[in-house]
Order: sequence, then C-alpha cells, then structure tokens
Amino acid sequence: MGYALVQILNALSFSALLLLTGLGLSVVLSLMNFINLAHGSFYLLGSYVAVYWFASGAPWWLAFPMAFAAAALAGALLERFPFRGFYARTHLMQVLLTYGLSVIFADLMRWGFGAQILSPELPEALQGVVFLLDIPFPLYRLFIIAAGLVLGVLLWLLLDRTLWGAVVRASVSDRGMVEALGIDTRRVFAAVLVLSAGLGGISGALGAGMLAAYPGLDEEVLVLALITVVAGGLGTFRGTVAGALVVGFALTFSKLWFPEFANAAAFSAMAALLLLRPNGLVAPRQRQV
Amino acid sequence: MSAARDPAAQPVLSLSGVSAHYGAVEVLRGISLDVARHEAVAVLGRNGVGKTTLVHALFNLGPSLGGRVRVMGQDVAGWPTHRIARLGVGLVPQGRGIFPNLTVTENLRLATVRRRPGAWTLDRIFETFPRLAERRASFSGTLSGGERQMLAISRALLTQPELLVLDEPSEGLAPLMAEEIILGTLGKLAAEGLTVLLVEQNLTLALRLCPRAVVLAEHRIVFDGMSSTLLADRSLVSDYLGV
Ligand SMILES: Nc1ncnc2c1ncn2[C@@H]1O[C@H](COP(=O)(O)OP(=O)(O)OP(=O)(O)O)[C@@H](O)[C@H]1O
Ligand SMILES: [Mg+2]
Repeated sequence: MGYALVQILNALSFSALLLLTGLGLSVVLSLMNFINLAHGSFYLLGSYVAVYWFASGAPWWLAFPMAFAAAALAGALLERFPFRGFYARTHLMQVLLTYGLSVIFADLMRWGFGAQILSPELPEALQGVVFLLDIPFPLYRLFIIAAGLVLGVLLWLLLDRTLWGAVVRASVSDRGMVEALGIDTRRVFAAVLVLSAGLGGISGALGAGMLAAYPGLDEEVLVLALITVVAGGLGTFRGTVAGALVVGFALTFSKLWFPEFANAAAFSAMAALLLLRPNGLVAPRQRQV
Repeated sequence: MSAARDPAAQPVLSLSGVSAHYGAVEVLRGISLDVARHEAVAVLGRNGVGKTTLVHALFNLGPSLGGRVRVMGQDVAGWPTHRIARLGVGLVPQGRGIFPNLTVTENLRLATVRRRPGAWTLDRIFETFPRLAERRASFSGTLSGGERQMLAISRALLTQPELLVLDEPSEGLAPLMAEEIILGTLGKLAAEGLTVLLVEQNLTLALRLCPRAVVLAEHRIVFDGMSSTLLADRSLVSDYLGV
C-alpha cells in the first residue's frame, strides 16, 4: 500500500513538471501556431539558475521567481528576434530555426555552467523525508506536486477568468477580429511567448531538485514535453493536464516494472495511444487554449 | 479653420483608386468612394463580386492592395488593423465574427480593452438588448443567429465607433429578425448620427435604411447615388443585382 502510494506520488511529481513545461509549449502552439523546440533550453536555464541561487545563500524561495524572470527575459529577446518573423512560416521552418537555436543554447550553457551534473543543495526547509505509511518520501517531491498544482490553477485562472485570458482565447479563434476591436495582437503574442518561456524556466527550477541539471537534459525534457502535448490533444489546457499525467505515470511505472526498457515501454505505450486516439486524449473541438 | 482642415467636414472614409487581388485574381479595380460623417451608405452587389474584399481593404485585413484608403482623414496604407480600428471604425464582419469559446460578457468586454471614451457602456448595451443581458453568462457559441448579430453589433458599438461597417448583417436571419436589426437597431443608430456603411444582399431593407447606395459589379462601382434613383432604374437593378 505504502509502496504504491509512494510510486504514485513519484509519478505525480514528474507529471507536475511535465505539466508546467508542456503548458508553455502548448499555449504557444495553439495561439501562435508556433513550434518552439528551444523550449527545453528555457527549462535547463531555469535549472541552472536554481542550482546557483540555492548555493548563493540568498532567500531560497526567490530562486523560482528568478528562474521565471531569467527564462522570460530570454524569451522576450528571442521573441523580438528571430521568433516573430517565423510565426507565419511553415512548421518545418520553425522546427529548423528553433532546433538550431536549441543547439546553440546547449553549447552556450555547457560553456557557462560546465559539463558536469549539478545537483542543487536543497534549502533546509525542503530537505529530508516524510513518512507515508511508514515509507520515507522526499519532502521536495511533495513541494513539486504542490507547486505544480498551484501554478497550474493560477495559469488556468489567468487564461479562463481574466480579460487578458479572454483576449488570448479570442486571438486563437479569430485574430483578425481581435485586431478589428483595436487590440494589438502582436503584443498579445509576445506576452504569451514570454509567459511560456517563464513557465519553462520555473519548471526547470522546480525540477532541478529532482532531475539535477546537466547538458542534454534540455532535449530530454523537450521530447517529454512534446509527447505530453501531443498525447493530451494539441492545444487544450485539459488535454495537457491529461497528457502530463499519462506520460508521468507511464514513465514512472515502466521504470519500476521494466527497468531495462523503461523508455521503450513508455514510448510504445504513447505510440499505441496515438494510434488509437490520433487527436490525443482530449481532442480539441476547435482550436482553443 | 479652413473647410479642408475641419475634421467634421472631412469624409470619415475615402477610397481612391483602390484595387485588390488574390494572387493573380483581380477582385476590385479603381474603386473610389467617399463617405461623409452621419451618412448611411448601402453597398450592394451579387455574390462574390468583392464586397467583403472591400470591407477587408479598409481594415487592411485582406490581400494586397493598390490605391489609397483614408480613414478619418488619415492615410492608413500599411497600418495594422488595430490602429485603423482605433481611429473609430467598428466592424460587424460577415458571419458575425463572434468568439464562440467566450461568454457573451467576455465578447463585449474585449471591445472595452482599449477604453476609448464614448457613450456606449456595457449597461447601456444590456438595456438596448435585454436578450443579451439574459444570456450574458452563456458561451456565445450557443446563441441563436439573431442573438449573435446583436452581440456582434453591440461589440462593435463598445469600441465607440464613429463609422460602423457591417458586412451582410441580415444573412441567415429570419425576415422579421433581419428587419428588426436593420431598420430597428441600425435605423435608430443612424438617426442618432452614427455613420453607417452597410454591405447587403437584401436590397429592400438596405435601401429603406440608407439614402445612398453604391453598386459593385465587374470589379468596380457601377452606380453611386440616391437609393430612390437606383430603385427606379429597373434595368440597373436586374443587370447588376439580379432581382
Ligand atoms: N482568400 C481568398 N483567396 C482567393 N480568392 C478569394 C479569397 N476570398 C475571396 N476570394 C474571391 O474573391 C472574390 C470576391 O470575394 P468576396 O468575399 O469579397 O465577395 P462578396 O461580394 O463578399 O461575396 P458574398 O456576397 O458571397 O459575401 C470571389 O470571387 C472569391 O471567390
Ligand atoms: Mg461577402
């Protein structure tokens, strides 16, 4: 019982990271029809920021807003140049551009942060274990789950309950009409990209305590986030939630049951899912956020 | 102040020599049209003649353009759509252009994001259209055709326009509803001084509302004059409007 609970919580903490990373990808894809393969770089940047911040002695909790800000700033600069010029281009062009950029960023980060695996010194408040039905479980993972939940709800409120969110949703369904109401949708797009990058950064900061930070993690996370978004159903919020849960659980439990072929098992399950439900778990009725 | 500089004397909309094409397909050629403040002008023409293309031309929503478009006296060549709209032009597009995944209130509030000063408020809209007030919390995708049209017009009004451009508002509406919207709602707005550019296929309703009519045919304007003159000219009506 306790063992199962612990594995479920492990899966949930992984799902929380996938959710935050995947939401950033998915909102940009559904709103701007833009595929950003550099999204994993935002994640890894956030991880490095957290590693260094935790080591610096400054108040630990500021690591998360700092990681958000660093990635958001990178996103803002990239949005101006060159992303903006590629929103209307084909997906292939976007893939070539952003994949190329992600390779450059990987080199830059290796140069700046080194090639070794960096595990952050967790703040005291988040160190240690809690006993769940007599089985120890890292407190930090509970923190990740809670943070994923809180940020997920905040994001949902922002998109679903605010006027700004209404502008974003309206731009997804009819950009020209939003413009005809006097709203500058280019600024909306820029803001969404910055938010998406920031989310990538904050998930990296959260994930550092679980997955550490090292060259190559950016791509691993990107692939998982892409699978999350596709498995869930392109560009729906609920779909990304479902996708994050499915991928998180599939990977966690396949590592448990088939340690040698964990990835093969998990990805075959995803492929089967997509064959059965080509539109993902939550098929969008129309393009929406 | 000289007459030429006086903003009230300037046409709110002035097209000169406007052409438009989709790739190699020419749709409009040499369109010139002035609309003065407080006028109500009907734009008529058969299916596919280019009426929507004309509407898109003045919002820079469409394909490549030639010629000059002036809105409120400003040359808007190359302007993004939102800047043109901010000059005080409201759009009720063909097919209504409501956002189905937003509630009625959200649809309306989007128009107030810009906070242009003006007489229209959400309360006044709900007074004018009690039906929308009843359905304020519904997703607008669930509205009936008539309700959608009221929503599209209300949303345009909340941008506080001086010129309201409507593209076939009667399309798909029951005859009574079409009459209610065009003669009732728009009639009242025009009487209050709103400038109206009304694209329509419903000749009778459009000409009852608008004292002036413009007929598009074969890429150009073939008639521009009093609605009564147009109605009296049987051959023009049958040749170019097919009624
Ligand atoms: N996106 C497009 N690409 C290519 N051709 C187009 C496009 N949109 C319209 N056309 C063509 O341009 C011509 C004018 O179209 P437009 O929509 O302006 O006509 P309309 O007068 O508004 O017609 P309706 O009364 O059916 O609304 C039509 O022949 C149409 O086939
Ligand atoms: Mg049309």
